Formats: sequence, structure tokens, C-alpha cells
Amino acid sequence: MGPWGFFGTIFAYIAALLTPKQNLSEAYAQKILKKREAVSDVAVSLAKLNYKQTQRLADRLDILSYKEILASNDEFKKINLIGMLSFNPTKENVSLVRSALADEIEMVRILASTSLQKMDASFVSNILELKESKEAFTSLGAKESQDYYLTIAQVYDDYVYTGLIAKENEEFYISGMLSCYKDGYYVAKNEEAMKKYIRALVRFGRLQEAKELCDEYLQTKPQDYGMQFWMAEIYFKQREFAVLNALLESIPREHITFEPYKKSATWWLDGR
Amino acid sequence: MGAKICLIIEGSYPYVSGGVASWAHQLIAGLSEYEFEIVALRAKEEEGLKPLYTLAPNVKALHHIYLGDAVKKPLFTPRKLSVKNEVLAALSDFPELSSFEPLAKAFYATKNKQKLKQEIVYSLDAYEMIEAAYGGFALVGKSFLDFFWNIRSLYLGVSNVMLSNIPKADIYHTVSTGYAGIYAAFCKINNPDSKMILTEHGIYTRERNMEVCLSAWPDIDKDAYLPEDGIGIYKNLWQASFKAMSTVCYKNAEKIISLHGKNNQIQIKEGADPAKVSTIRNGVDLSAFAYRARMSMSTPAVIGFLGRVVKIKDVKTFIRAADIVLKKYPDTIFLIAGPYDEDKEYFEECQKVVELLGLDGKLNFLGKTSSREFFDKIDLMILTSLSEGQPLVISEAAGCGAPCVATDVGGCREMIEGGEGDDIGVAGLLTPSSNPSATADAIMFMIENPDFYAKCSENARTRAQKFYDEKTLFTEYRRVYGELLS
Repeated sequence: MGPWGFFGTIFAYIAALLTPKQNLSEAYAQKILKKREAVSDVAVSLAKLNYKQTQRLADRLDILSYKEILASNDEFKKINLIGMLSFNPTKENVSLVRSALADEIEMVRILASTSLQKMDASFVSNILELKESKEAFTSLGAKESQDYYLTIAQVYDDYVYTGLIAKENEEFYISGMLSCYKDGYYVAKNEEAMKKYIRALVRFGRLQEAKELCDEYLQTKPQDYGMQFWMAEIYFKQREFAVLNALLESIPREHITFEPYKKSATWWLDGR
Repeated sequence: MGAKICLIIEGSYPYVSGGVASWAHQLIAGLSEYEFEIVALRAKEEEGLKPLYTLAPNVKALHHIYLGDAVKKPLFTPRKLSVKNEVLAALSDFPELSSFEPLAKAFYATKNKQKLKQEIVYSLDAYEMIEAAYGGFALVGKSFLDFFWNIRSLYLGVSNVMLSNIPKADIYHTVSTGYAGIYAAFCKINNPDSKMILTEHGIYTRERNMEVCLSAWPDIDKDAYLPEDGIGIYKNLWQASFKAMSTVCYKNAEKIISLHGKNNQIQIKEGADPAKVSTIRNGVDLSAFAYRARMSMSTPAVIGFLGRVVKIKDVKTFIRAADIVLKKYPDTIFLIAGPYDEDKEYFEECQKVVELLGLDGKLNFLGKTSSREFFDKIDLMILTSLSEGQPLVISEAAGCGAPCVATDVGGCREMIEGGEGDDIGVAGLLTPSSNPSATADAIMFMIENPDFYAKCSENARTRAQKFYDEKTLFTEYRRVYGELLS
């Protein structure tokens, strides 16, 4: 049954419904509805299974993953999938749509380009709107000011994270994000902004800058053990293992409550 | 005067400038021995709207069909829809619509069109048909209002087309499928002695499918896993409807023409009879473009974009490519020429991207500009479109000796690298779409390789002279019209 088969069948059903002296079957419509609900339920359940279980079930249930749909020859399914993904510009969805730029069917490539354009436009317009409303937000008060910088930095961050930006233009947006986090701390006095700033610097490999800021922050808040662990992360990336060890030893064990930090401390201090 | 041609165009000539409109204007002026009547399909009537083109003397009339035209509510609600049987018969094998002909005849035969329109919009029969469709699609729990208005807007457009008058003509020549295609088929069915031609610049059905896919619909379920669950019934409805329109158009046309071989293949895939399908390329008046042999790019290089500033042209990719090039060649001049009033929001977004990237002063929007003067000014023409038919700007630039860097869409490959029977050589570079890095690399390659650039310039002009001269366009259409009229 091709893409129009279902639709054509429904219209034929409606025509039959309205044409006098013909038998009608509402059960047919209900049957289709039930089948689609069942498929949806299974798809949701599949998300909870591990890879092997998913593969076994997928073979039996004839459900295609998004990657499989995009690798198939079904143009109709592909363009509908890309259209759907365009409403949700996550890193994974951008990657999927980007893979369709190399599709052998031109219409799929065109739709992929247009979808990426649409996803991109949503970030750019958000950033520009926030920039334009900076004055309005920051004049409202300290909390609004703090929220403003965090919000705009997060939009930049999400934009960079999605991979929508060409590598050559990425630096511009990374700088924009870092600048907003920085202003969030130094201008709006938002500690959360400082933490995110440091994490972003580490993420983009600006370790020395991150270390200096971390030092500066820990001088005012030496009891912030979460930030101590970020400092440890920086030492790890800089291969300064002895200093890392010493830092972890200085943190009272009872203050390490976050599970990943506990595991990390145990590994470094109790036996490698 | 010769035979009469009714040229049917949707959303373009003579009110919107662009490739299709330029082609129509050129064809009418070039085939001056024929009388033309133009039927312009638009969404709605706009007060004070003036044509952007001065109509040639052989245009005898300009008619309008407004797809969204409403009708005054009658005093008494009609019970019956007089064409109900024909509608049901036509829908029984939707989207094939093999019973479209009796429906078209029934509409045409109706003397009181106003009354029929009121029946279509207000009758109890029509309402019950929508109710039945709602039940038939098993839309339990979904808004009936959303469904009602979707269906209404869908059939209102088609109804307005089929309730319109038919100008007397020997040939009905439509420039797309869609509503214009339905109208052309409607005209031909009710004038059996006349003929019908379809010239497709892009593939209407596919372009509309794209727009449908990217639009927000009331029943989209963004959390659905399966696309067929996520997209909902309305997208399916509109996609199937556009498919139905193209099926009717392909079936009724005697000749189905596209601008290049790639689109012919798509037309056949979409259901066109291969025996009806052929290619007639676009052409330009090369005598109007002063050729200048280019040995190398200027210092600094001048890189140009000529086109409407709209989403499909993906001007932002051009802007981002400019940013990359400027990092290596900071003196390069980037110019964007073309009207920017069609999509004001998109133009503002482009301006903001320029501002965001700090390109003010390095990249300029010139607005509507003479293409001859523009191509003489620039070294390289860039096209970053997401979709194209056979862009005239490439031929025009080639006529002036300016090579082109274009996205590999539509007929661009054939225009830049040559098609069947064309061994002239490359006249530019092709890039993937939505890829500012690739576009920037191609621009920088041209800057850094003057021998290649010079060869492209020469090849561009040669190709334009051999394959894209408007004289060939006129000869071909004279032949097609002549065949149908004899």
C-alpha cells in the first residue's frame, strides 16, 4: 500500500458512506485507529529496552528507526520524517537531517537543507530578540538581570551544541556564549553563570582560563566542593595528576554526596 | 494575428518578479504573432496591486482568479449540493480523480455559479460530507473545527477555480500543475477543440510537499516516535490533494514540458506519460549582455549574488560564506542585488546575520538592480538556492562572461558542467546546498586559480550562446504551438 493507498481508501470509504443503499463499516476505521495506537505503544516501549532487545523486537515488529528510514528508498517517508524533525532542533535531530543532505533523491536533499535553515533561524531569531530586549530585562532588577544572561547564554550554548553552525563560524557564537556567562557573573553577580562559564571553558579546551577563574571563584567560596571537582577535572585534562590527587585528598569525604564525584574520588584515592 | 494562447500562471506574472515571471514576459513578447490572454491565480484580491511588468501589445486580456474568494451567506441555507454525485464519484478513487471530467463539466454547465458556490460553502449536504469525512478518518478526540476549516480551505480553492469563466483560446498553456493545472484541465475539458500544454519550471507537487512538511499543523504530535503518527491527517490531506491536482493536469495536457532532463524524469515518476514529456531550455537575449572576457578576478575580487532575497535562495548561506572568505581575503567585496520586499521578515533576518557576524560595510544589499550593469561589475556570480528550475541568472551571467558558483540543484549542473550533447567544459563550480564552507572554498578556489577562472569565463559564454539563447526558446515554442494547432 503506497503513501496514497491509505488516504485513497479513506476517501473511498467516505464516498461509500454517503452513497445510498451501500453497506458501511465503521469497524474498518476503528481497526485502523487501533493498529496505529498499538504501533505507537510498542515504539514507546522500545525506547526503554537495550540495544540487543530493540534489534530483536524491531526485526519482528517491522518498525524502522529514523536512521533506517533515512537510509531507505521511501521518499515519502523520508520527507515526512525530516519535516517532523525540523520542529525539534536537538543535536541528534540536526545530525539526522544533516545526513539527508547527501541523499540521492534531490527533493530529500532540498527538504533537509530547508529544515536546517528553519532550525537555524529559530536560534538566530531567539538570540537577536534577546539581545534587543537586554535593556528591558536588565533594568527590571537583579534577579531578572541574572536570568537574562543565563537565558541568552543557554540559547548560544544550545545553538553551538546542535552542530548547526559551520565550523568556521562557530568561534563567533562560542565567544558570544562565553561573554554572556562572563557578564552573568561579573555584571549580574550570578554564581550559576560562573559555574557554567567555567564548564564551557573546559568543554572548549580553554583550560588555563578555566583554571584561573576556578581559582578566583574558590578563593571566595572554598567550600564549594562541586567546583573543587571541576578544578580536579581541569588538572586531569592538563595531566597534572599529583596536584589532582592532592586536591581530592583535601576534600572531606563526607561532603562528597554526588554519586559520580564519589566514584571518582574513590578511584583516585583508594586504589587505581 | 495568429492563434490565441491562454497563459495560466499561479502566484507569479505579472505581479511577482522572478524567473517564472521573466520567462512568461519574454515568451509573450517573443511570440508576438500570437494573441495572449493571461489568467493570474492569486490567493486573494489586493487593493491597489499593480503589475510589475508592462504587458506586451499582444496581451489582449488579464483575468484573475482568487483562490480564497469568499461568498456571501444566502438568506436561506441551501439543503442540497447540486453537484454532490459528481463530487462523490470524483473522490471515490482519490487521488487518481479518474472521474474529474464529469465534475468539471457539471461545474461548467451550472448557470448560476453564485448559487453553486453558496451550496458548496453553506449547504447541509456539504456540511454532512465534511462530518462523514471526519468520522471516516476516525478523528475521535481531535478538533472538528480544525478539520472543518482545513477541508473547507482545501476545496474552496479548487471550487473557485472551477467556478471561474473560461476565456476562449486555442491553447491553454499552464505554467505549473496545482490550481493553475486544474484550471487548465477544466478549460480544456469544457472546450474539447482546444489543446493544453504544461510547462513546469520546478515540480509544483514536490515544492508544496516540502512546504507542507515544514509547516505547523494543528494535529502535529511532536512527541510521536513514528513520523506517520507525528504528521497527522492534515499534512496527508494536503499532500494527497496536490498529487491529485498534478494527476489531473498530466492526464489532460497534450504536451508536458520542463526545463531540463532531470525534471522530465521526475514528471514521469509523478505519473506523466513519457510520450508527452519533453525539454525546452530557458533562454536569454544575449545581445543585451555585453560580453567581457575575464582573464582573472579583480583585486579586490567582487563577488555577487543576484536574486530575490527569499528563503528558497538561502541568502544566509551566502552571507556566512562571505564571512569565511573575508577571514582570508579581507578586502573582498560582496554584493547582494535583488528585490527584498517579497519576504520582509527574511530580509530582516539576513540583515541581522550580517550585523551579528560584523559584516556591515563588507557585504551590501543593493536592492533591485539592472542585471546587465551588475554582471559587468562582478567577477563571480554565486547562487546558494535550495531549489531551482533553470535559473536565468546563470545564463545572463554567462552571457557577460561571469562564471558561476552554484548549488547542485535543479538544472544548475547542466548549466555549469554541461548536459547530454554538451562537451564545452565547466563554466563554474557546484557546491552542496546549506554549506557555507563549501561555497567559501569554491569562491577562494576561483580567486586562487586564475587560469581555471579564465577558462570558466570562456566556457560560460560559449555555452550560453549555444544552448541558452532566447531565439532557441522562441523557435521551440513556435514548433510546439504549431504542432498542436495544425
